[in-house]
Amino acid sequence: MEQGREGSQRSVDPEALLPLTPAMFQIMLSLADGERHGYSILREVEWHTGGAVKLGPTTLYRSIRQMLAAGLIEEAEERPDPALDDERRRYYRLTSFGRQVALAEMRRLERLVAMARATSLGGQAGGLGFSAPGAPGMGGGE
Amino acid sequence: MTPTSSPTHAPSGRRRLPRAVSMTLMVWSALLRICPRAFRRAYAAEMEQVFRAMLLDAWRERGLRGVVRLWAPALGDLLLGAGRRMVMI
Repeated sequence: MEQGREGSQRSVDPEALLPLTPAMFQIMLSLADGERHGYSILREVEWHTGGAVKLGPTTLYRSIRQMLAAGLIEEAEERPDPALDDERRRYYRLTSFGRQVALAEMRRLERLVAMARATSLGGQAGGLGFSAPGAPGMGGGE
Repeated sequence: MTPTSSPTHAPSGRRRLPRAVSMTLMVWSALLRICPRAFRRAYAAEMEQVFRAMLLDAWRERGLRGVVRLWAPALGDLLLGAGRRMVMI
């Protein structure tokens, strides 16, 4: 597997990997508070987006593979509770480089929203914020 | 068919999947072969585990209807995902 690449990514500018795909960004957000296995990531993304984003297994693992290769996430070596858990499950967590990239993506999105708010469209959106365009289906809005 | 009737337990105590879930899983696993071999070797087992959990949740929540409602998005996810992989390789 693509592990232990974090060191080789330190010289890479996090902004160079932007923009992230919506699926990747959602996966990173779901891993912000700790490690998770694949199904847990799917459920967290669905919950976090109020059901607007439903990732499918292929999108999930295609993204995971790319993120492992880029050093954004890594496999966790220790399992939260080996006695209660399926040993075939793999757990993933954000690397510190992944955190930097996620923060850079957040800043990019903030700039984008600020720019949109400055237009006449922003006036129409009012103070209620934008309703995010839905990404129905399992494609994860990619 | 109702979700309360399944999953049933075999006499041995081993959990048996509802037929709608096992059939869907079987067809989906067969379709996984369209994904590149290296990708399958690395992730097919985990993907099947995830899809199985999705199907069981759908079964518990909505029964057969819930499982059927997963077919189209699951197929789209598989075809698009596999297609993208092939293009990338």
